[in-house]
This record gives sequence, C-alpha cells and structure tokens, in this order.
Amino acid sequence: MLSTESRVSNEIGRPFLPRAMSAWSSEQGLNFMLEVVGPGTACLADLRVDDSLFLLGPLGRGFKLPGPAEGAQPLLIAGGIGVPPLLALERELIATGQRPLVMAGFRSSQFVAAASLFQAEAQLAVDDGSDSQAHSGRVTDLLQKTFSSGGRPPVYACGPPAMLETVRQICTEVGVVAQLALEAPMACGYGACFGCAVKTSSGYIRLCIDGPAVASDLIESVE
Amino acid sequence: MINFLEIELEHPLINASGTFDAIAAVEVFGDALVENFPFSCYVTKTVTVEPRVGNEPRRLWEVAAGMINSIGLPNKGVEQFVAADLPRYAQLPVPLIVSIAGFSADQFKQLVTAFNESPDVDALELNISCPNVKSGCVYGSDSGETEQLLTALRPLAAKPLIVKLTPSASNLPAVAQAAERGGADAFSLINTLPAAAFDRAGKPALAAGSGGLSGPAIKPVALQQVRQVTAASSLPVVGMGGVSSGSDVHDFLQAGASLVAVGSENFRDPLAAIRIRSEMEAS
Repeated sequence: MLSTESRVSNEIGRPFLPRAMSAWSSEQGLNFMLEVVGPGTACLADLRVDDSLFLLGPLGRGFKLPGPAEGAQPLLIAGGIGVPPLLALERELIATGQRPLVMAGFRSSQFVAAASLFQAEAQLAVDDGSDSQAHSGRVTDLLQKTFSSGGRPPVYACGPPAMLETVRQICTEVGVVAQLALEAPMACGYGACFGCAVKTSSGYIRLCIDGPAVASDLIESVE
Repeated sequence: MINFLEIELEHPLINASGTFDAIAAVEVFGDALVENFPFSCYVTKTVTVEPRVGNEPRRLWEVAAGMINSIGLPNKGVEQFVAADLPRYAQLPVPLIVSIAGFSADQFKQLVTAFNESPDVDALELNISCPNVKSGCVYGSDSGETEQLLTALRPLAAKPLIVKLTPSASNLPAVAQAAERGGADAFSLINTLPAAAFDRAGKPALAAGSGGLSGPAIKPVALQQVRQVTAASSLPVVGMGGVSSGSDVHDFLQAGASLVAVGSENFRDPLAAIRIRSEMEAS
C-alpha cells in the first residue's frame, strides 16, 4: 500500500472552486501573483510550464479612473498580496498620461520584491521592521502622513481587510472617497451564487459583479 | 424529445434552482450563451412573497469535494420578479420552471396563484425546505405538513407542481408519498444537506453557523435518495446532487431520474453544462 501524503491531509477533495484573482498585463502576457495560503493556491503554485489552467474572466468592475479635473497625483496603496490590481491600475494611469504615487506595505522584508513590479519607485513600509530602507510599521502610516501634510490625492487601495479598514477610516476623516478592492469568498464569479455579498449603505452588493473595487463611502467597515 | 409533465424537452439536462443565473450570465458572457443554451429547461432562483436581502456574510465556504452555503434566498419578491425578471426569462429558448418558497401555507398559495395566468411559466417547483413559521417545522421534513400543504395548493394551481424534497427528512419515501397524495406532479431532489464548517481561526465558517452542503461530496447520498423516491412513487423525478460529468448524469438516470440537474458545477464553471452535454452524447 502506498499513497502520497495528501491522501491523509485535511485538504483531500480541494480545491473545489476556482479562486478569484487579480491580473495585470505586461509584455510577457497576463500575470498573476499568489501566496500559498490553502489548497487552491498550493495547486496553482505547483504548476509547471505547459500545464493548463481553467480561467474565466475578466470579471467584475475595476477601479474607476480619476477624471482629469481631479488634478492631484493618484495615490496607490498596496498591502502584501494586494499588489496586482494596483499594478494593473498603474499601467492604465500611465497610459493616460498620469504619474501615480505608490505606497506598498508588507509583513516582512522577504515580500518587498513585489513592490519592484511597480513602474514608480514605491514608498515602502514593513510591519516587522525587517527592512532598514523601509518605514517600520504600517503602510497606512504613510497615508496618514500624506494627509497630515495637506495632500488630498485620489486614493486606490488593495490589501488585507484590516489595512483597507484603516485606509477607509483615514480617508473618511479627511473627506476623501477612496476606491478599495475588496475580497470575499466567491463561488461563481459572475453573479449567480450570491455568496460574495458585501454590506453597503444601499444594501448588499455582489462583489463579483458590483465590485471588487468599491467606493469607501459605500461601506461602513471592511470586514 | 422527453415528455416531462406534458412539457417537451430536448434532452434530460436542466439546472438546479439558484445555481445558474441566466440574466447575469447573458450580461457577463453575451448572447452566445443563450444561442447555445445548455439546459433543456430553465429553473429560476427561488422567489418568495416579500423581497429578501439574504443572510449576513460569510455565506459560503469550500469543503472537501464541495461547498457549504447559507445564502438566505435573496430575491426581489414575487411582484418585482413578475414585473422585471419573468419577461427576461421568457426570452430564453427553453421552457421555464419557477422555484417558489413560502413561510406559511398562505404565502405558498399566493405564490402558486401568482403564476396561474402566466403563459411563460411551464411548471412551479415548491421549495419546501423552509420552516413553516406557524409550526416551526420544515415542511419537507414531515409527511403531515407536506400533504396538508399540497392538498391546499393543488386546487389553486393551474401549473404542474414539482416538489423539491428535503434530504434530511427522516422518512423520505413517506414524505414523497404524502406529497403525491396531496397532488404533487413530480419531485426534484436532493436539496443541499445540512452542514457546518469552521475556519482557520476555529470560528464557524458561515455567519449563520451552518448551511447546506453541495457538490460531488453529496452525489452518493443523492443517488440513494433518488432510488428510494422512485421506488416509493411513480411520479417523475428530477435528480441532482454533485452532477459534474456525463457519467454522473447516466448514474442519476440509472437510479430512476427522468431529468438530471446540474447545481454547484455551474459555479465552478458556467460553461460546464455544455461540456456535460457533450459527454452525455459521447457515451
């Protein structure tokens, strides 16, 4: 009798559903970034050249680009694995002649390389202080500093819920409506299952078709 | 052609209620999906009398070979459904079954009669997995409740009534026979199985605490329940539960089902039914 180790793991029979992922385009084609956190991302991380993928997309509504009247340099705030949608946004903004500022925060220095994918030089924050070049602390500290010095740029953010909630609070205090790319457990991705409901001031929305980019003034808190 | 309740269907593959949103699918994937519509009949998401926003999130959770959901029947309510959604479903190139759920006999009566005059609706599916707010009992778990409900609805209904049975009934054949005595025209089964999961933090994975299990994990349970019901009643059965391939469809037909529905597989891949159809034809 012989079996692979997965035979006895808790994860047998998973992943069952595809995972909702952000992508960005580059000269190399379509790019994804993932962190192995469970069976779905583990299988994706095991892919080898010439393996095939199931892919459904693009789906949902992305960030709304700032109008020319808004003037100020857009500010992109990325937290950890929340980098990809902002890479896509940065490319789109640059294509329309804008030069966005980028702030990127990571748990520790081992993840910081993701920030080099931005075309702009990102202001870095590392939670555990393991990067001497970066602000030691939260990326939202950098946002707070920007607002404290009077800046009121249009804000775009993606990252873990706690970070997005802090972004939402800081922006609310100064009257800036940020666009937040949220996530929720999702089965279908196209509006059929109603699993990815997020509470807004006008009731539940389905994040898959009404988001994932949501205006911060529509939500009471990011959970 | 298959004759199901006097409805002519091209093949036995349909969708399970609430797993394939034909309106959303067309908005996202375009008209090509309608032109190559994979189901021989379309079953809507469940409609209730009053509008419902659905349950608090988190509403779904992946588990081994399936998922658990507690969505809470969000819908516009029957009035808005008839005004806004029904005309769009009527555009689909296949017959239409509307799924309805009431929390009292009066609500069921209201829903059944709301579709009597609608030429676009071919049959109604009664979702009897909801609790009767008067007795607190889930209709489908009890023969008496089920028979009483069907007996009340039958004389009011101009459309065929398909009863979606509850898999947690302690005596499923008895509930099926009770529904038949009350005037049911067909059965559909299985609905999701009551289930729970915990997240990495050790908290209940769903805000509601528990939900319904679907996906390949439930297929063997579904096959056995289809066998039980087809043995206990001569009414036609729509079989479902973990159908994800052409060979699954054959298994359900083998178990006695007249039609077979695709459920959670539609979530994994909205084009899955096109593949399943081709697998059915190839074998």
